[in-house]
Amino acid sequence: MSVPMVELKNVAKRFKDFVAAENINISVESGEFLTLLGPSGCGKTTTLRMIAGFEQPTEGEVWVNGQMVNHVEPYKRDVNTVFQSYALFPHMSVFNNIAYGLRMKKVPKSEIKERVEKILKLVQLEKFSSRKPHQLSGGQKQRVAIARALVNNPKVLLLDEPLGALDLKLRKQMQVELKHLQQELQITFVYVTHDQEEALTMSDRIIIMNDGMIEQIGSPTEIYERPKTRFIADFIGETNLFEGAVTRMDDQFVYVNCASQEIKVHREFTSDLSDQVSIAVRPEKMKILPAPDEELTAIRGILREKIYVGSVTKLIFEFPNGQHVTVNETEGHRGMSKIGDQLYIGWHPKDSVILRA
Amino acid sequence: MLKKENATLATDIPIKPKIKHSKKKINLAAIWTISPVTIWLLLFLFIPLFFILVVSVMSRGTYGGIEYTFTLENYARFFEPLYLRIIVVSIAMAAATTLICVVFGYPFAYIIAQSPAKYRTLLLLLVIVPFWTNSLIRTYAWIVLLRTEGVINTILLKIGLIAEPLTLLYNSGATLIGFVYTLFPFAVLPLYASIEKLDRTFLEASSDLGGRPWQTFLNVTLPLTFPGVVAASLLVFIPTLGLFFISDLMGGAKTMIIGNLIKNQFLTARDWPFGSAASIILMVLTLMMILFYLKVSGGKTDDTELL
Repeated sequence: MSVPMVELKNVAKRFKDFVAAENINISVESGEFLTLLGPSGCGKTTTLRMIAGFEQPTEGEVWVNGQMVNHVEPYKRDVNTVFQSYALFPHMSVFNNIAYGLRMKKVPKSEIKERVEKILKLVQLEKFSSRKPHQLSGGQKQRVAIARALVNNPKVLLLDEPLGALDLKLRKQMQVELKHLQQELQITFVYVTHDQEEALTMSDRIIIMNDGMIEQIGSPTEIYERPKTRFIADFIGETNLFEGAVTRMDDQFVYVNCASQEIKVHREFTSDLSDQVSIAVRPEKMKILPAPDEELTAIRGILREKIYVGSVTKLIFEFPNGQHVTVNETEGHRGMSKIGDQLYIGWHPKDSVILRA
Repeated sequence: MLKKENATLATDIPIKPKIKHSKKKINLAAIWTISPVTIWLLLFLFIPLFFILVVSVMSRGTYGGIEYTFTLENYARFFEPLYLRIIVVSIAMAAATTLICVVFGYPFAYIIAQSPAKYRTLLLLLVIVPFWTNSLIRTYAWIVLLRTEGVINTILLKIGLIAEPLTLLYNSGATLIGFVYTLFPFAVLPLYASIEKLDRTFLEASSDLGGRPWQTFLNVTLPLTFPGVVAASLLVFIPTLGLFFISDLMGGAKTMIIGNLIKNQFLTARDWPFGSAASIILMVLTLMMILFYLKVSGGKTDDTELL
């Protein structure tokens, strides 16, 4: 197996009175798009800054391309950063901003010109090379920031919420462009975001962080469909959580008593088996049934609210125990139910997971 | 872009009078609110300035009064070598003071801006503390230190480093010390302000792109804090030209600057017209400096919020 491009071994970062990151073990393969995802203050940016060299880990080791870099200054590391605020030098033109890294490394002038022009073409900003940053739009600044980092052919590109300042439409467009760029150039990306949709769209693997700790590492599908903790189930997408007690189990299923009913979940989808557990089911995995079904888990509920959000209509049901559940209205059922109706809501046992309560 | 705007304005004739009307109203309101300032400036700046301008083109009376006959003689006198030399010396002294204050003030301000937030206020306070004592008194304190039987000479003699007292006072070096000492805070404060507001991310970005600390300083820190350097230079250079009591007390009246000349004309020589002309020339010099600096810094940094 090849040497990981970036490796963090038992890394911790403690500031005077709080722990920013603890027990961080990450290994990033060459050419991988890895995302650090979590709410603000979860330690993801601190982790990124330790890879860049702006922060020193209090404990543990940071490795880049097979070299321990704990005491290597940022200007000697083979990584480049795209900053959240872009940090484009306001007194320099687009060309000079992009050429900065090459000039610092004393690359010959003709080569600088060639490489900057090539990268300007790649990010489609050839016509803007003599503009100053304040004459650019948000999306253009973003491209310059990426070009300024990429022109140095870094081993790893670190991106700290690079799309955070853009509006929704532009953000979606840039997500696709960034992903294409990464696949084209085969550069290792370590990407920080708090936007779960962004993480799911772009990443090869996602690391979910919370309170300075890693909660789960996995592919977008794993993270979305098999969240390991309640926090993740709640943080990524929408989820219905039921609380209950485990009553029994057999070879195939675990049975949980909740909402005054027995719900079965596949044994392999359980990450915790204490007495009290939570069951998580995504709204789009639930459907409205005409009658109880042998195959599916079904619970009877009263339709309390309909929320139209454009692509789908969300139906809010109330279960006998008073719990509210969100179900996405399916194509076949559109407009058929009205508020106050008593209906069965069902889902397949493979579409639910058991989590620690 | 401009053309387009003009075109739309020309076609939108019916709207035009309305705009004018509202504009007029706003102007009236604006004048009303700034009137206290306007009156103040009129009474205490423009009218006195006008008097000085008028007096500067009058003749001196035999007994030191003002004779109201028009003449440009007062200005012509500045082209005599004696006075030209004073102007040259003044500018040289001011330039040297500015250079020393900015060169030493920059690292000084940088260290304050870099220190932990809780010490910053204290350090700034220490820079400002000397202002609480009258500058004349502080200048006398320097005389106590520098004169022949002063503190420095006494100590150096006692420890046997020198056999005879050094001439530390009453020369242009002493004047320079006085200038630098008095105006140093004026350099530190604007430098501090611009260094402190410099976004650290720019420095991180430079380091990230391979810039060593000194490369980062030359390529990023210095250009981005250049408005502070300009402000510091102006705030030191301009007052230096007028600090007559320092060159009087510490230079032993050997180094004459424009400030001394003006003071002497009004108080000693009783030649008010010539003194007024000197004041006007000092003002014109100062304005030229400011314009020059604005032009230089404006072109280089694109920073409109200078000063």
